Amino acid sequence: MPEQSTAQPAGPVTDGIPGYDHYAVNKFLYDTDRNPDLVARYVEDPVAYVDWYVEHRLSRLLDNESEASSVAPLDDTTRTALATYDFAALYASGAHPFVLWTLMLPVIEAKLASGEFEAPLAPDGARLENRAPMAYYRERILPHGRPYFRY
Amino acid sequence: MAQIVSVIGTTHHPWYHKKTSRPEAELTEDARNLLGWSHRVQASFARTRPDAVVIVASDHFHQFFHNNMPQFVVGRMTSYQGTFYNEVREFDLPRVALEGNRALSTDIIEAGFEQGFDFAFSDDLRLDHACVVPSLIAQPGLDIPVVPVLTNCGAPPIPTGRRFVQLGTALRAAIEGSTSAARVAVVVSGNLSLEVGGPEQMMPYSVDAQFDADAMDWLVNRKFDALEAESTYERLMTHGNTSFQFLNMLTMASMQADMSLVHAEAMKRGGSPAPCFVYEQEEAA
Repeated sequence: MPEQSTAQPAGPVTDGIPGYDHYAVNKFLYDTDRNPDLVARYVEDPVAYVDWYVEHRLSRLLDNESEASSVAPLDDTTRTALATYDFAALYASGAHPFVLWTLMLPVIEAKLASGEFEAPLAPDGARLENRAPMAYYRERILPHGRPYFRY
Repeated sequence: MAQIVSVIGTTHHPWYHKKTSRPEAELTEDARNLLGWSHRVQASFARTRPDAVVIVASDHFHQFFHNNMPQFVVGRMTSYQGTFYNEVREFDLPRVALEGNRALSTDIIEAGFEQGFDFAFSDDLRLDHACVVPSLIAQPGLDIPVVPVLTNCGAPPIPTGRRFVQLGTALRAAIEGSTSAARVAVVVSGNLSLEVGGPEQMMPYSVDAQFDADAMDWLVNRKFDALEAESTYERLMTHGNTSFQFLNMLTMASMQADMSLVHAEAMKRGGSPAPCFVYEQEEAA
């Protein structure tokens, strides 16, 4: 196992989409991941779940569902990316990498188990924990470097 | 008045429990190192005999999010539940219960007003691995009451390095002004370079070995100019997208003041090394 990086960093820090408001997509990721029933629904039928989430939950305040939220709606590109598990596109645009990974982990795990996603090849010496889903995720985000997620 | 008897800087490696709870013969090198670290911290606790533990750590989007994001929040409960379902799922982390020292929490919040920190507070707080793992490391019996002080190291805009340095000074004064505990250990939970959900997430090498070495030097030698200059969002992002939790280590560096450095190590493991620090108050030893 190498003790130091044998590779250059996978890519430069990139800008994502400067000025883009990521609250709606991050709210979807965070709010879904913290609720096991919602995660199961997203794994089961992402198109139906995203439709439901946008209509019934994104439009409400977090932690106070009796009141509406004025949060900016998801644009079509982001909505499609969520509905097709296109996490690389979400990552590249500057969605928060922590909440993105945390939700995609159970999704990728389930899809690898069902054979819907093709098993990845892990890099040499890679971490054993969550190895297959991490490798699947890494392969796809790698071209996008490390985008800022501050906007 | 309370005395700060020790300051511990530690990893909150989320697989700590999973790696270290295997039979002796199946322990990996990482697991043995982590257990060695735990024994070292437990030995320090045995010497310094704290009756309260203040934990400085960062919530990982379990309870706080961009809808209502405190920069610094003090838990104020008589007991805490630890671990969330998605941490059980991802890390096999045990659900735990910890006693709280609510009076000390209130003292810290009120002293903060005089110390330049208007802390947010929570009377309904649950602790994630950033508090649970350091507690399992320092006091596996989980019998010493805690006060969690959670910092925002994940949701930009993140406070400056200078602010984390000031936090250490403010917490020290607040704790030393309290009569709600006698002997307080401060456990600071953080990391060096680190990536989660980014390209270096699973790799066996450090995200940025040069930064790790520099950062240890700045911390050990209390080089606050370098610590503050190198702890901007832009600089920390070059060492991995989760390097921001390094900011908690600045609080450790300012808080330990004139205490004796008993141990400082960047513990080797698969991935970036983990910061391990033990400071003790000499009279307390």
